[in-house]
Amino acid sequence: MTIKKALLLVGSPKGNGSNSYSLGSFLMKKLSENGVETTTMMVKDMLGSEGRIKDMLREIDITELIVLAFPLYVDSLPAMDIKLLQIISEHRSGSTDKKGFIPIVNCGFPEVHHNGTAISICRNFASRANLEWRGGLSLGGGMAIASRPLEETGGVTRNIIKSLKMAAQSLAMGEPIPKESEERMALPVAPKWIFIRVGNRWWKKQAKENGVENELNARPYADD
Amino acid sequence: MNGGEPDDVLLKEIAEFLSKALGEEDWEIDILELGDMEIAGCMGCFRCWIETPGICVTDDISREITRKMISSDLLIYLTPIVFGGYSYHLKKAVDRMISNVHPFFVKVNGEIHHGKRYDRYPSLTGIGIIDYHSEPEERTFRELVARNAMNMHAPRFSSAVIVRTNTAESRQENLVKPLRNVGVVE
Repeated sequence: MTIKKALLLVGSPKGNGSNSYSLGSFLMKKLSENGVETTTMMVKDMLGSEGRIKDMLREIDITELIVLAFPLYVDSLPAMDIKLLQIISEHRSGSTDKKGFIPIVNCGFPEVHHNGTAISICRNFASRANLEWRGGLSLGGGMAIASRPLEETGGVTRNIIKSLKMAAQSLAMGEPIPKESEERMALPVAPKWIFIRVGNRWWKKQAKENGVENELNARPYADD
Repeated sequence: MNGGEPDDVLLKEIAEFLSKALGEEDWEIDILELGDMEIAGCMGCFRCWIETPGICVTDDISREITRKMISSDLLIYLTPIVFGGYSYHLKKAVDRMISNVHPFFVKVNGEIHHGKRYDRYPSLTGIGIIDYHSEPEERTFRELVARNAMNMHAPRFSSAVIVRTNTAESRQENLVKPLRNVGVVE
């Protein structure tokens, strides 16, 4: 039985210029192709605006699937997303309707298990907010996406694309994400040694462009 | 670092108790009531690594908090447990703390982390307050403190979960234990 509506909440402070948006919007596109009407909202635009929070809660009420896409911040969700989940959880206190929830979390580290605590927090939220856990998608090495639409990223994201297509088919039917989809998303985008070399070179290049290559090791708060 | 709401009396009491216990051991204590502070959220721009290394580009009280954090021997995260994680107030301060580490990737026990910016980092104790027992949330909280300790290069770490309805006596015992585990009280 196909679901009618899905809601994407983009939980990155960078909004639609983020990897979270690239991942979430691609999933929404695939859900649309499966006959689901989708809505996308930016968490960064909500907090501090009662009107926008009301709009978001209205969408929560009528949707059948909530997708939260966010970047890993210090082993957890960005602070603003914690606030958002609290608002949703309070709003859904005592709700008994059948509504699904999935997080899509991406981190900069190559090992996907860095996302483990964030996924656990999302799972605990689903339980408190009376939402059905439909699985979680967890990605390491998010740098490979570089905030581009997934269709423009070339072969490096082939497993991510396959994973999201697979997930969309099941989610559209109101079913959980298949194990294979979760596993594909979790596959490393590059070997660790390449990742360290390329990653560190990238940080250096960025610092150089800002004229602070020699200050990368600065210790502004040291006691000395 | 008290991540409770400004009107959360219990967390303020706990902060005072910890302050007293550590004071008796000749520790100098600084209590930060994060709920009373205007702290902006981290933008994830990484400019604290590649533009103004070590300093967040957002100029608010968080810079001072970040300085205090790296100058400490022990950080205590005191927070209501929210879905197994930290409160919004505490998480804002923690997110802004990434300027204290280095962008470069290093291997720690075979796992990739951001390297050290400073020679020494504080130990970490996480104290989570929960309304009623929830095994999954308590487990998540302990894991989160452990992962944070690893990512922020804490030499030692400990955690405790306190149920809000606990008696003062059992609460105090549970509060002293994690301080013993990081070696700051006898």
